[in-house]
Amino acid sequence: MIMDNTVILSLLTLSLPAITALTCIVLLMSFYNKSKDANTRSLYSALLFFFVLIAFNWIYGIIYVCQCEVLPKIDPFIYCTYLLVQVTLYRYTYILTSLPEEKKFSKKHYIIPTAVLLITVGWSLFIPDAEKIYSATHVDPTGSHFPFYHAWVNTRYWGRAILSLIYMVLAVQRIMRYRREIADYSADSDRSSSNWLLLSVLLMLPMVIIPLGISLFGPLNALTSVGWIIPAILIVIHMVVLCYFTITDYYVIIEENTTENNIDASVPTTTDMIALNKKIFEEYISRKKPYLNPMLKITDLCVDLHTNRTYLSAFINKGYGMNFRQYVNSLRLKDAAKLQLDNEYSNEEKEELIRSVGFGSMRSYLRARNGNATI
Amino acid sequence: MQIIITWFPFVVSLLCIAFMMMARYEIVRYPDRRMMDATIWYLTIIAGTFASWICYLLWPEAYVGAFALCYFCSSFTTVALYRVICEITLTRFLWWHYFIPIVMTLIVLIWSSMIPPEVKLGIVHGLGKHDPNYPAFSAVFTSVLVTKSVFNLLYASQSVKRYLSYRGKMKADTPKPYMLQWLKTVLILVCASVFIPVLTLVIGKNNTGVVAINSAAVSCSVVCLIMTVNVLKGNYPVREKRRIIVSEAVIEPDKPRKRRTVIRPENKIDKEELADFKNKVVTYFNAEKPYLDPKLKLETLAEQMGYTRNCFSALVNQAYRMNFNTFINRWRLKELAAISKASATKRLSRARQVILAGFGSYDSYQRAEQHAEATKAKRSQKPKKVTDTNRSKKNDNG
Repeated sequence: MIMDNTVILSLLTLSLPAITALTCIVLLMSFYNKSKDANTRSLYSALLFFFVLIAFNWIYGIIYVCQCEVLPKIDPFIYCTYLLVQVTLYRYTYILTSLPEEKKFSKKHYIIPTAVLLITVGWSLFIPDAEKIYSATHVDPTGSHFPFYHAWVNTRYWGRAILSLIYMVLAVQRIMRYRREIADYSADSDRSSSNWLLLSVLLMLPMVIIPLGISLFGPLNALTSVGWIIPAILIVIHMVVLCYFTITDYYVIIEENTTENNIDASVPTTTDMIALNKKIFEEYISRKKPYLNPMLKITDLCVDLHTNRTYLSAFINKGYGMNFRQYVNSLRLKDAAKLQLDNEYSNEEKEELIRSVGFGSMRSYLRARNGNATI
Repeated sequence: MQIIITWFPFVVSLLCIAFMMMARYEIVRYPDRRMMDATIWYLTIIAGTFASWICYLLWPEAYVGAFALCYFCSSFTTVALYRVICEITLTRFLWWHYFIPIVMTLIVLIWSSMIPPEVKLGIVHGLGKHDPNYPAFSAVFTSVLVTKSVFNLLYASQSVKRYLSYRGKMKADTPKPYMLQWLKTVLILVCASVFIPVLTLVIGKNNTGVVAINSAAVSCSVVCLIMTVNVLKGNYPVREKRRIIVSEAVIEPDKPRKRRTVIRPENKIDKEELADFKNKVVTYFNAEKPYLDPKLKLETLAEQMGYTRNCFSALVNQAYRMNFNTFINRWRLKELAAISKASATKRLSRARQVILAGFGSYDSYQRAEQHAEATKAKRSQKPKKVTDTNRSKKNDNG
C-alpha cells in the first residue's frame, strides 16, 4: 500500500485508541491486587476484557487500512467483538452500581454476540476470501457474488449502533437508580457521585455514530478519513477516565447487609440490638466523630451502634428528615463553620481545613454547602 | 514504519501525563505535589522529544520552525529525570542544572532566527549535509545527537550516583515501597538508552539509526509506564517540611553501649521495675522525643533505650496497659496539644501541626484520637442492651 500523508495520518489516528487500550491494560494489571474482594476483582476483569476488545477493534482498523489480505482471517470475529464491547461495558457498570440482593449480571446478555459469532464464523467457512474482503470493504452489494452474506456482514454497523444505544440507555438507568440508593449508604459524595461513570457512558456516543458513518460513507473511505480524529480522541478520553477512576478506587460498591442475615457470629443478633434514640445516637456522634472519616459508610456505624443498615437508615430519615449523606455532611459543615470562626485556625489553608472536618475535597464541600449532597 | 514506532512512546507519555495530572488535582500535600510536578515535567519532555522526531519525519517545515524547542527537549530529558530522582531520594535539586540547557537553547533560538528557513530545510532534506555557506550553524543544527549524548552521560551517571547513595542509607527494615526497586529498573533502561546516541555517533547513523529509534521508543515507553504506576501507588518516601525521613536515628558512637535488660516471659515484672521503666521512658522521651519520627519502630526504640524487643514490648504492655503503637500515639497527641498552644507553631495549619507531632498522616492522627476517645468512653460508659420482649415474656412465663 502506498503510504501517503493521508494514509499515515489515518494510521496514526487509528492507532491512538489501540495504544491507549494497551496502556490501560498495563496500568490495570499493575494495580490488580489478588487480595482485593470479589466485587473489585470482577470489576477489574470486566474492564480488562473491555480494553482488550477495544484494542482488538482498533488494531483491526489498522490492518484494514494496511493489510487487506489478512482480513478474511479476522473479519468473521470482528462483528462479535463490536457487540461484546457494549455488553462488557454494561457489565462493568452493572457491577459498580449493583445493589444488595440484586441478581448477578445475567449471562443472557452474551447470547446475541455469541449467536452472531457462530453464524458469521460458520457462514464464512463457505465463502471465498476474495468475497470476504469485498464484503468487508464495500457497502454496495453490486459486485458481490454472495449478496446474503454481504448483507449480513454489513448489518454489523447498524447492529452495533442499535446495541450501543440500548446499552447506553440501560447503563444510564442503572446509574440513576444507584445514585438514589447510595445517598443512604455512603457519606463520601465524591467517590459515590459516579459522575465520572455517567460521563464515560456518554462518551461512548461515538460507538453509535461511527458505525452509522461507516455504513453511509463506506468502510475504506471512512477509515482513511481524517474525520476519525474526533471520535478517536473521545474514545481515548473515555478509556482514560474509566481506567483512572478504577485504579484509584474512586467508587463505592454497596455491599450485602450481612447484619440482617445474622450469619456471622461477630455481628449483633436481634437480642443484642440497642434501642436507638436520638440521645444515644447524638452522644455517639459527638464522642466518636465518625464523620471525620471522608470514606464513611453507614455500615461503619452499625457495629458500634448495635444495629443494622436498614434500621439506621430509616432512623436517620425519620429522625432528621434527611438521608445519611446529608446528615453526615451537615455535621461536617457545622464543624467547618466552627473552625472558620476560630482565630486559632484563621491561617489554615481552606482546603486543609475542609479536609480536616471530613470532606474528601473542596468539591464535595462546595456540593454539600450548596445543598446538593443528595445529587 | 519509523513514524508509527515514534508515535507509540509519544502517545504513551501523553497518556501518562493525563493520569498524573488527574492524580495531582486530588493531592493537597505540598511534598506530594512537588513529586508529581517533577514527574509530569519529565514526561512532558519525553513527549516533546518524540514529537520533535515525528515532526522531523512527517513535517520538516514544522521541525525547522520549532528547532529550538526540539533541541531543548533532547538536551533536557536526563536533567528532568535527575530532578525526579532528587525528589524521590530526598536530595536537594539545585536549579542551576537548568541553566546550561536553557542558555544553549536561547543561543540556538536566536541564531536560528537569523538563518533563512530554506537553509535549515536544505540541511533536513539533505539528511544532515552541511550547507557550505553556513558551516558553523550547520554544525550546531546537526549537533542534537552530540548534545543529547553529553547530557545523557552526565546526568544519567549523577542519577545513578544519587540512587546508590540513597540505597546505601536504607536499612533492612525499611518498608518495601521506600526501597525503590522500581527506580533501579528505570535507571537501567535509561542508562542502556544513553549509549545508543553515543554508538550512533561512533558507528554511523545509517547503521544504527533504526536500532537507536526503536530501542529508545521501547525503553522510554516502559520508563513512562513504570514511573506512572509507582508514583500513582505512592511507592516513594516523601520529604517532610522540617524533617527528612531517610533512616532511623543513629546512636552516637562515643556513647557507651547500654546494658541490655533481658526479662524472660515467665518472669513477672514487679512494681519497682515498672516504676523504673516509666521513669526512664519519661526522661528519655522528654529529652530525645523519638515519637516525632513517624517511622519509629519498636526494635529501634528498644535498642536505643537498652532493652530487647520482647522485653520492651512487655514493659509497655504492663506499665501502660496498651500496645506500642497506641503508646507512641499518646505521646504524639500530647505533643500535638503542646504544638497547638505554643506561640511559634499555633498559627500553623492543623495538618502541619499533626505532621510536626510525629504522625505519618492526618488519617493516622484521626484514628489515634478516635481510639483515645473511644478508650476513655469505654471506661466510663457501656451501651444499654434491649432484649427481645417476646422472648423475655416467654422466659418469665417459663
